[in-house]
Amino acid sequence: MTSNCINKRYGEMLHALELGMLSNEDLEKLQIHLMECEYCFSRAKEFLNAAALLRDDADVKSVIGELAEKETRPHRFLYRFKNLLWPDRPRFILAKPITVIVVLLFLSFPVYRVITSKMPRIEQTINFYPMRSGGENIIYKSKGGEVSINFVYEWAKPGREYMVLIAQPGGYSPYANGKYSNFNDQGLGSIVLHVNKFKRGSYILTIVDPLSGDSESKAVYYFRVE
Amino acid sequence: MIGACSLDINQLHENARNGDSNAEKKLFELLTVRFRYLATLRLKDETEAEEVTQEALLAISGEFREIVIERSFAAWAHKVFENRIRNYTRSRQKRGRLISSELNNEGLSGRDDHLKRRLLGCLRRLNDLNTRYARILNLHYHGYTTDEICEKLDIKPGNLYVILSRARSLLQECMNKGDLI
Repeated sequence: MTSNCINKRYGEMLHALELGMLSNEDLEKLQIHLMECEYCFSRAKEFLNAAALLRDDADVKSVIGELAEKETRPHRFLYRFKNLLWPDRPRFILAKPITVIVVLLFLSFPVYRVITSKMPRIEQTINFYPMRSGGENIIYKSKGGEVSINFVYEWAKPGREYMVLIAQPGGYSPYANGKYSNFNDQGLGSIVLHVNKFKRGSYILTIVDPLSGDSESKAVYYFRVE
Repeated sequence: MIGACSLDINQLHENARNGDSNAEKKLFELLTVRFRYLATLRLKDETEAEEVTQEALLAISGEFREIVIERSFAAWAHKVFENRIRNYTRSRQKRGRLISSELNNEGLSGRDDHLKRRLLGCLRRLNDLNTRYARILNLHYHGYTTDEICEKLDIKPGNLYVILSRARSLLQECMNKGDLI
């Protein structure tokens, strides 16, 4: 037997001929091909009985039916869902990249929420400067959120530790830090507290240098929470 | 093409027409096996296939020396054969005879249980690799035309033939060697 078909285009149709799936036009062409191609005719002869089973046998047809159902039934829904998001032949050419972007956004949203939940949401800011007269600094509980309290301590040196205390005259203290060290070069410090830490009333912000026995190195600021 | 060989049935015919008796003998041997195969495929019955084959060969033997070839001898011989098939099928329908495989599954397909078992085993193994083959065949069994199958599976006819051809190769290999490699 020769090792090659003389015309592979027709050679590929052989099984379709054996199963009876060719159009009349292709049937004629392939039959003539079998008259001329020893390779294809030998293959056809070898497979004659098996092809007859595939074409006509009831048991074989039944098994084929089971195999076909097995392939389609469990996966039909999944295939349709998958094809919706990731079509085999997208009519809309951007379907796949858009699907990827949407999935990435969906997956990254919880991470975004965790990150942003840790970032303070500053709703109010009060600033304290020495020797500055003006209106009272008031924090409004109704505004909610975080309160940024900025204060100047003239004797502050960056990196050194100081005592910072926020307290009511009655003793309640939402903030006390004996080792505050966040002053910058200009002596500006900052604390962020949630408004819920404050009760309504008057407060005193006190900054003291623990190493100095001089009372003039103490800074005091007043504010209210309403 | 290296390794490829046209049977050159047309050349055999030319030589036979010129008086080469060996060529004539070879020509009719080739025609016999081919007609027998094609007739069996179409009529699904070996006895009827033999009848049609002999009729076609008889018609060809009476005319092959004098015919005027338009396309090729193979095409002309096929046309003679095809006419015999059609005539036989028409007369069979008039007589009200059913195709034997429709009656009781005898004929080619009903004889070899061992072959059937091997085929069924190979079909199951093949389905693990190529699930579309079973789907295509099942649709064909349910009366879908080739065009309808292609539309349903969203493939071209050429692709369908390739799927069938590859599956056939795997089936044949499995049946010859006992397993798919």
